[in-house]
Amino acid sequence: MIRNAAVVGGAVATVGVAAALARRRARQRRHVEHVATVVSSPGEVAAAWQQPDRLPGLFARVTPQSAEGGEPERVPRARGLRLLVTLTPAPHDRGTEVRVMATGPSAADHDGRLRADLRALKSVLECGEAVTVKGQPSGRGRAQRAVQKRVNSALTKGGRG
Amino acid sequence: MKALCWMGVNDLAVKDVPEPRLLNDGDAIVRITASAVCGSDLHLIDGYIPAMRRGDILGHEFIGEIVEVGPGVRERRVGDRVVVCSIISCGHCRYCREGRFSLCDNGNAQPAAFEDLYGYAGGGIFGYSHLVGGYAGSHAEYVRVPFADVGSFPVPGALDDDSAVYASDAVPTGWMAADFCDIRPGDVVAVWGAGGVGQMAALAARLMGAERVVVIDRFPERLEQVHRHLGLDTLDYGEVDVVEALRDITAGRGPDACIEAVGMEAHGFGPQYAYDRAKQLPRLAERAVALREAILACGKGGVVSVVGVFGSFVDKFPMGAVVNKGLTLRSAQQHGQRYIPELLERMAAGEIPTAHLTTHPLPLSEGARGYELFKHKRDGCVRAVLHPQAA
Repeated sequence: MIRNAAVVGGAVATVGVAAALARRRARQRRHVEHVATVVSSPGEVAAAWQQPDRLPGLFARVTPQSAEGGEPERVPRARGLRLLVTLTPAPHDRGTEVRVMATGPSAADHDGRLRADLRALKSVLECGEAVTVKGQPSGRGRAQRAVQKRVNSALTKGGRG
Repeated sequence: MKALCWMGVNDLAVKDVPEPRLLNDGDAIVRITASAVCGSDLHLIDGYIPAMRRGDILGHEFIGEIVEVGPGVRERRVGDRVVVCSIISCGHCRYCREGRFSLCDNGNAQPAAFEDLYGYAGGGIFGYSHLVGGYAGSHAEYVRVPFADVGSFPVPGALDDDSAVYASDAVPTGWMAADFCDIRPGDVVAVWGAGGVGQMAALAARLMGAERVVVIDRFPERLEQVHRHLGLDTLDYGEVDVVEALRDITAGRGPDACIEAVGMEAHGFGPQYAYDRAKQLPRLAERAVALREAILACGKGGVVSVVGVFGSFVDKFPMGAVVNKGLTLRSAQQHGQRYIPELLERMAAGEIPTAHLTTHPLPLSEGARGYELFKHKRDGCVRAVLHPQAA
């Protein structure tokens, strides 16, 4: 009897933990955040949005908002995704902290892309362009080049700093 | 064009590959006239640095002529004879503005693996794995140089290619290593490693005012070069107890600064070395024989400056000695853009001799043999320099 109760109790606990983890995962999938520091003033960073063709990826489709009270905005042509981009001064003339928060059912699907876009944005703002290695020579054959393309894509999705 | 490619662990081959083209506005294309093998390449060839891919072009220490520039290049022109810093840096981020170019925020085109390993990505490096950008290297007829205004430097006419090529890496790395030591009059500096970087670090320490500089190695031809070309003292670690010898030389004070210019494949003797080798085979740890010795040998309050390349972990690290002797540990990949213009002037003025380092000038087609000679120190090889334009 005691043994059965223990088994049932263990199963209930397992289901409970699994449900909690699933809820946590779902929450995480609906909220993605990245941040980078750019060595320009908030005004200079904001001015970049006057030339949206220079802005990488998703950043060209939203505008920065105030850190206080800003609301995530719907992103054109990205279903289930809302973005909030905020600019705040970094301490002691370190530049501007650019924070991007993605919410919505497809937020997690855009995680890697947001990281890469934010890094590219930082590079564009700091040195005019994001450096690339796409298209450079190697001694790889055709099949190896196809594999390498996927490797490069994975390795590019970074963006702290 | 022809290029020397990494095809697997201890497997190099010259391949026909497409010529590079401009990919960013700040790029230049350089026709390579000389490209040196470097001790740090051996870690790639031996498979100790992760993220090398079959077909990657090796080489990061080079000189050549600019044959094409992107629309964003302002300071360099077609026809300029330039030496190019092995580190790729943007010149504009916080770290570049502070002169710490190898920490550049924007130089690594593929930063994710670096960030996952170390937390934050540094700058790029030519021909040095996908960890540091995946850039094609310089053991080729041509190379693409990103941020050309920042990383390429006109070479004085008085310097020939086989001398000037070391301004790309060995000379500024050695100079930075000595610069880290904050040398004061009367200081004694000990340098582990009598290869190109170690020799240049030793000479830099002397030029910065060290009273005495002692270089530690065991290969006779390298020790002989230190005596003959640099006029500095040496210790053969195969013959003497280095820590004891340095204590004696400094009359009990210990060196004021110790420079480690050996890195993850240090050689040594005894059980500790056997233990290091055993742990390096399955990639559990790197061989830090010289690093440990430098820390143990350093005098109280001294500086240990590390420019030998390490990629992952070391164990039996004498942290107790660092703490209880009050040592300062400094390290970085080279901040070459900060030093190269001054160093080229000094080289042209004859203050920094480098020609003797090139013991084996070779055509690119013999690149694999050059690395074999260099790795096993055969035929007195200190450095092989590849000439891609030679027949």
